[in-house]
Amino acid sequence: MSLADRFAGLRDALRGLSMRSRLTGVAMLLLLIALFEPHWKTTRDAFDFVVTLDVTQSMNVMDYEIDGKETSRLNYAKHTLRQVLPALPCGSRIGWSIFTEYRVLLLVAPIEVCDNYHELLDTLDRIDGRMAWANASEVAKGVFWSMRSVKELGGSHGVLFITDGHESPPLNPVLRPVLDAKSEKGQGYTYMDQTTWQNKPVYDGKPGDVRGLIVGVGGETLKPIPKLDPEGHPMGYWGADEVMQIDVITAGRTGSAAGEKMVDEGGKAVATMKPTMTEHLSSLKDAYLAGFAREVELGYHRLSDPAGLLRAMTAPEFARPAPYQADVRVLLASIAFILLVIAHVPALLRIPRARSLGRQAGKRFSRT
Amino acid sequence: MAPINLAFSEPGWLLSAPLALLPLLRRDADTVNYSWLALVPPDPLSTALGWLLRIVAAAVMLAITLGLAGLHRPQVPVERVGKGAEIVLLLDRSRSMDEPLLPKGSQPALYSGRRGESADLESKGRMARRLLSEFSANRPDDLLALVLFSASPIPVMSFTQKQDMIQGAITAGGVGKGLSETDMGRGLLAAADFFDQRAYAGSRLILLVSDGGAQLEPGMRERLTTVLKRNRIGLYWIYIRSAGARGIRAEAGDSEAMESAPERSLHRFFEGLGIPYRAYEAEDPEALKRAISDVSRLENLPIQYQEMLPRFDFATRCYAVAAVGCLLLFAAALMRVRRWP
Amino acid sequence: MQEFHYKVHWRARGQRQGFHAATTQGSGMEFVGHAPLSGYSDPRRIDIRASLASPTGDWLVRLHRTRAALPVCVLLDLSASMGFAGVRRKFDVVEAFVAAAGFSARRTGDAFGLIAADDTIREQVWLPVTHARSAVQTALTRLEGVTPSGGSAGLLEALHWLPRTRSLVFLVSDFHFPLDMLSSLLDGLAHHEVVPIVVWDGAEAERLPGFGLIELADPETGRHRTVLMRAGLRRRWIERVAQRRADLCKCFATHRTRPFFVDGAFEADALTRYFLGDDEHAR
Repeated sequence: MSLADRFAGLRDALRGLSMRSRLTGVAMLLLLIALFEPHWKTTRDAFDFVVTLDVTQSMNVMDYEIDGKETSRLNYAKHTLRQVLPALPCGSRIGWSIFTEYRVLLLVAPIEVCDNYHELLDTLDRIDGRMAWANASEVAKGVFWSMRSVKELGGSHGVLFITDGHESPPLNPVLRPVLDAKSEKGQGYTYMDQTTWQNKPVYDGKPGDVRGLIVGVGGETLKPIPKLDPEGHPMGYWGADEVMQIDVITAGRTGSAAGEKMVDEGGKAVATMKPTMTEHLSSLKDAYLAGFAREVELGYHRLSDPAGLLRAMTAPEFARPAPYQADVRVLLASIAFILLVIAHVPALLRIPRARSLGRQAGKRFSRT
Repeated sequence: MAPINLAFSEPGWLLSAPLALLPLLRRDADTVNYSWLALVPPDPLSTALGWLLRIVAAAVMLAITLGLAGLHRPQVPVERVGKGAEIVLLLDRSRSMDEPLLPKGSQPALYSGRRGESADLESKGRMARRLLSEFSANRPDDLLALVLFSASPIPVMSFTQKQDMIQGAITAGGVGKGLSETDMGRGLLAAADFFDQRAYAGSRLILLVSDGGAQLEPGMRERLTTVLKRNRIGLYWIYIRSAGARGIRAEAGDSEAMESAPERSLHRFFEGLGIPYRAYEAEDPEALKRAISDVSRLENLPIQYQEMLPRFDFATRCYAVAAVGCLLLFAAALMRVRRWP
Repeated sequence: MQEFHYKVHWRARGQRQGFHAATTQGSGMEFVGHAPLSGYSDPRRIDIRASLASPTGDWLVRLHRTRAALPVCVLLDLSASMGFAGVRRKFDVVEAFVAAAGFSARRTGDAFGLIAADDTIREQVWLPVTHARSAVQTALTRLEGVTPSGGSAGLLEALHWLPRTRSLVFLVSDFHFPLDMLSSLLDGLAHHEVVPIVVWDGAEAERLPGFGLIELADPETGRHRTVLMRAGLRRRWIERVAQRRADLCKCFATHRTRPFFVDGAFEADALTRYFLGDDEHAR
């Protein structure tokens, strides 16, 4: 039998097949292709963040609830992150870092979330107030530091700075943090004018060169801050006389003569901050953080629930196209499935209710 | 054997599973009319085959559904025995580690720079991290944990074999400058804590990398002694000698003041603990390398560890079943008589 | 148009002149007896020889039986199985038969009627017995566009639709229903002369495929059966069909009738031979 004859036989056999059989055959081919595990190289959005958690003592204020139990800001933030982590698309990278005093300390450089999920969770669980190396909370400087850390890592990671915005010692409004593109690249912050602007938080990068989010945690009402010893044992609450109520910088240095005041560039005395006597209490400094975030061109998100944080983190502006091997099997198998469903619903096939035997089956009862 | 857990990654697809019953409903397709079925002799083989084909068709659809739903066995822990140790890396994160490791004999005064970035010399911390990361990369069976210490201990990760995580944590140590203070006692406690309440699975080790010693209070000494002995932890101290500092071992001609230097007293304390203890003095990069390769040579006892058996995807198996089923159905279709001879 | 010749073995009771022997007296060739002229005052029929021999001395008249017409009725099974199309469509065979029956009835001078039934009587196909010359055409027109469907239970009602007088009834069916039902149907029709026309198709029996997978559907019940056709099954199948044929013959025999099997096309001559007593189609 020649090859052509063989093909003719095959063609006849196929022609004789019902629609159901043909659909089954196509489904079979699709499934056989799926067995070779074809992949489609494409990209999908991934989100890289260095997450900085404020571990200062104000973060221990209990103004959140998880399952009806009071919990601290830090715990709530961790709880939220625990939910967000598995929801991030694979390929995203997360690193952990903590903030105290005026700086952040990177614990884990960003690593892929799906493969290292348990490890990342483990580290997150270990983050707590006992890690703090000093009792101070200069949030603005911390944010700048975290932005610098991200740059130092060299990646395109975003900054995610989770804080309640409680500056301690308090920050005089005239010392609002500024972005200083002109300043020389250098240490933690730029010493501009030794006499006037010392200790004013300054960021030495270009505005907007680091993307990210400041996430505000905490309640609206002022609450006392639990006082903990270095090993984490509670020692009551911070008293009004135990914390600085005014900022140290504009108040003048201890060594200065009495009445010496700080002056601005024009030589005018800078208004001293009026003590509010509420610095031992803490609430979310929403407006301050939002304004600050605007100034340093970061986003601001007020933490309310995991879904909200996830939405904020997966905003298109933070997306990085990560290479991704799309599984073509799903496509093939789903088409095969649909074909089989069609094959088994005669109504969809528009086939006659039943075929008759015989040669004249097609035109029965039509007399001519 | 443990029961095999199965899970679905896309359980939404399971909603289409009832469609797999469609082939079981006798719907008209591929049928030929025959005037009276009573004329057809009863034939168990045919009946069985008819059911078989319908069941195969249903199974094919069910298998595809399972495949689409991402049937898989989640990763499961399995006990493995390898060669290595459970090692807690206890890293000094103090600012002095940012200084360059000067070759012996160099004068620190000759070096002027802030963080070693101007000089072609690597900082102590950076070198330690680089060697540690090579160390862990070469020892895949080790379980590594990491604790940083400065004013307070910062446990970064507990025992893991995930290189990603280990390298991520070691890399992180290089970002930003060090912290100001050191509290070695609490650092050691935090490191020893990792072994507390942990089943003994292999040799246990704390690998302390620091560039200075510490005077420990008597209370802290007592706590350390207890916890290190109870957990049978070995201690390796890689002492990165600062320029100008004396070594940890007594040398002839040392004054009494030198004898009471923190590193000396700490060394003596460790020696007196009665636990496996080794101290390495790394004065230059080569020495540091030697010290770390020493550890890697010595600590090769069998270790029992849990390995995560990676998730096994059954989707391809499901599709294979479906494809074979389809093959049967198609073969049956080719055998089908749709016209009388 | 095919024509066949039929006759019955009883006397027709019809009043209309026709071809068949009848019980009616009248003009005819069949001598019955003599009657006094006073009763049957037809002087043309005075039998002088018989009158002379009559002891009473009455004038005797010859009495003759006339020949009468007979109602011929086709009782048609329109159950779904009759829609079967194998080698040829059964319904074509049915139409050919109805045409031949109607034509033959007209040629013989008999009245012709058509009653069709599936689950019930199909009234729109019903043609009451008539002598009209157009009866054949009417019957065929009514069959046009008819699709056999359902079962055969309606046949049992058919006897109420048949003429009251004893008729020649062609029972056209494939008889694909239980023998019990056939028995009661024949009982019901006992008043008439029933000629079972068994319409079978070659594809139902002999001409089965040799090998293959067949999904059979019963058009009457809607049931399906998967059949793996192979030599053994094919043999058993053919045996079963032959057994069925034998069973049908037996059942007809107990009702004192013989079936006429149409296994392919309808042949009128074969039916004529059947009426002549040739048994070739009953086996």
